[in-house]
Amino acid sequence: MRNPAHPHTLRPSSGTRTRTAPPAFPGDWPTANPRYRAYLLYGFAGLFFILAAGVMVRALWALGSGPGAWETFLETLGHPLYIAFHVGSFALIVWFGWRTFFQMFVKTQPPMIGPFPRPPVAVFPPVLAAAWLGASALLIAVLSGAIL
Amino acid sequence: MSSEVKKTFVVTRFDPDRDEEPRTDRYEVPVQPDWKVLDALNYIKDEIDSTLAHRWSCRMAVCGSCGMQVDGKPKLTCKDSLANYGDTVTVEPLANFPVVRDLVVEFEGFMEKFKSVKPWIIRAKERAVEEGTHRQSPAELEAFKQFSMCINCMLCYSACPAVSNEPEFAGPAAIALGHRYNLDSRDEGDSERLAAMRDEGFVYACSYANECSEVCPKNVDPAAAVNQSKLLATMDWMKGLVLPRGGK
Repeated sequence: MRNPAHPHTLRPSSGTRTRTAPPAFPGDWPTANPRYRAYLLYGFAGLFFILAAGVMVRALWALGSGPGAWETFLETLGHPLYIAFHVGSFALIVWFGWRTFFQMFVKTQPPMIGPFPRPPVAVFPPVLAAAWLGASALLIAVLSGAIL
Repeated sequence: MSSEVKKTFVVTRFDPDRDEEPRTDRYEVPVQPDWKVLDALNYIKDEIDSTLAHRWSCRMAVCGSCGMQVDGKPKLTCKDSLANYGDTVTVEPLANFPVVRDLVVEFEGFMEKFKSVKPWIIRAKERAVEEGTHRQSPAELEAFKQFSMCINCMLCYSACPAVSNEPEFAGPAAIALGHRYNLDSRDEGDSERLAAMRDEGFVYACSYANECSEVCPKNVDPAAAVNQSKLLATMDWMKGLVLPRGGK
């Protein structure tokens, strides 16, 4: 079973010399392998981030409306649906960051970085992991009041 | 002593003169343990049904002619062992391509994509013959060698969801070829190519499924070429904004 691809996919600009069957894409493509599933989830994550941005706008609105509105907003954040949403958003953004920096970013590095040859690809993940852990530790330290 | 076993091949058939749309035929083939998928197709063609049309040539993963969907995945059939499959094997023409006949696809549209990346050495000023050849160090060769190993088997196009949705998309192999020339120390046409690559349907049409690199039988890693080209095209654009005369 095959899905139709766009009818003009890889069609010659002058048309085909004989009648051809239209291009097709495998019928099981979204679930055919983990890379396709990750590709779809990566795009789907954008919807989650739009919703999270909406929550932030609402927080700013409450902040500008006075202490009462802010307290009410904080209370609504305790609702199980909000907690589930934030847990889901956190998990998704961690995965999104991992795919962006540990997969795509590594592929983006050209053979020469400025005047220097690119280090071996295997060097990138541990360096990125160290940078991620360091930045997270710094953020936690600041937010918890341990420093600053 | 023969150790052959029988496998059933479900093969897509399409005769443009008779068929409204592709159909399938089933063939029982006695296969040897060391056979590749292409061996079974050749057996069908030679011994069972001479009307079957499929493309092949070198039988050693060099010419790139025998790409097909085997059990739904794009494979070079001369390299793909039948031992990897069960009792029933499905063989279809490459996904995303118009089908000319049976397992043969129309690749003229694919070849047109190649022209768009100007896959030749561009020099600001051609050297005279008496000035000698352009010399290149092993390190300079190494910078682009990986991207020059493409055999145009078209598997990356059949695996790419962006290709199936955006007909204008130049696609993985064409961008990898353009990137190969951009990295070539003898070439001076990178700004020209990168300007073209910033257009609609080029590098930014890729949304990184990475399937092109997974299916590539020569480890060209076209996803890396596309994503490196995104970075280089963006940096080239920024240089044009910030530096006098575009940094040229």
